Amino acid sequence: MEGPDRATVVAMSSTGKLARILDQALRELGDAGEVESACRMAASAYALLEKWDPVAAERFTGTLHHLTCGLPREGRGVRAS
Amino acid sequence: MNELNFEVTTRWSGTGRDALGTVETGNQVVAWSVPEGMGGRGEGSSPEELLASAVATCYTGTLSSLLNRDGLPWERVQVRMREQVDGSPMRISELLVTPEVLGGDPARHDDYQAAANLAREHCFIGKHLRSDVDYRVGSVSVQPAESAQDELDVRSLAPAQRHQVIFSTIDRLEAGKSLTLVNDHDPLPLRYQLEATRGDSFSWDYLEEGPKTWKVRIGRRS
Repeated sequence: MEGPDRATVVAMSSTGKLARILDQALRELGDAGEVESACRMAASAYALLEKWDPVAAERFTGTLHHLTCGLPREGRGVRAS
Repeated sequence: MNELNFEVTTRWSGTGRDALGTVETGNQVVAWSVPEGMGGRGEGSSPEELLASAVATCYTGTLSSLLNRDGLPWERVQVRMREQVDGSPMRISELLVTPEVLGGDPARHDDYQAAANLAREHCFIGKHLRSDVDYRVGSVSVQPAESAQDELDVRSLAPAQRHQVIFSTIDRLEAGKSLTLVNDHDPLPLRYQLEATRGDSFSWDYLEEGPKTWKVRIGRRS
């Protein structure tokens, strides 16, 4: 089977680095009080990456867990079901 | 049995421990790196997790065969594998499998436990490790059929596996149907991901909110 070439591995690595930067930025946004906005952006980043780079996408699952940890019930601004 | 041959290809890009690799097996490509705890970048899987996965998958298949052989009812089997690495030089010191049978008969728990213990003896991947590693079977959990039909309890799964299992399960829900997700923390991150990837096609209602167990009813809208 033909595996990913070096360019693909490098691209995935670059995506991983960008994901780390965005992860850090979203955590800081959450720390600044904009938790709802940070959560929505983290979820959007996950949605963009989940098919192409699942490893990088999973980083934003971690971001969401960090952001929502300790979020009060009334602070959950997700659409009502 | 005829001789069988299996082949995987691994690639490694970078220098030292801070590098990223892939392993190609079948038509799957899995990224891997050295775990953070060993000085690596901790992205994707790792040789340690891949070894645990090899034993856990072989064990799971063996257990399902034994359940069929013994006439024990079951709908799904989940197996959590814990691998312990310690010492200097580092070595794998313990493998602990904890099976959960969904859609089983709790009155026959002892029979399920016996099958689970026997699966350890028959699991041929595990056989190669048993002389060097303390490979043990934990207590089997048996959930009855009625609770398994509409309940998805992910507490026994590794955190990294949970969202993938949940997404694949709820994507199979028929319109108008629902299931109860059981978790050991608030699954709110999953709700954000559901909305980002699947819009408003699912409903979300909390049934229980901690402190140790969270239950959420997730329904697929018509």
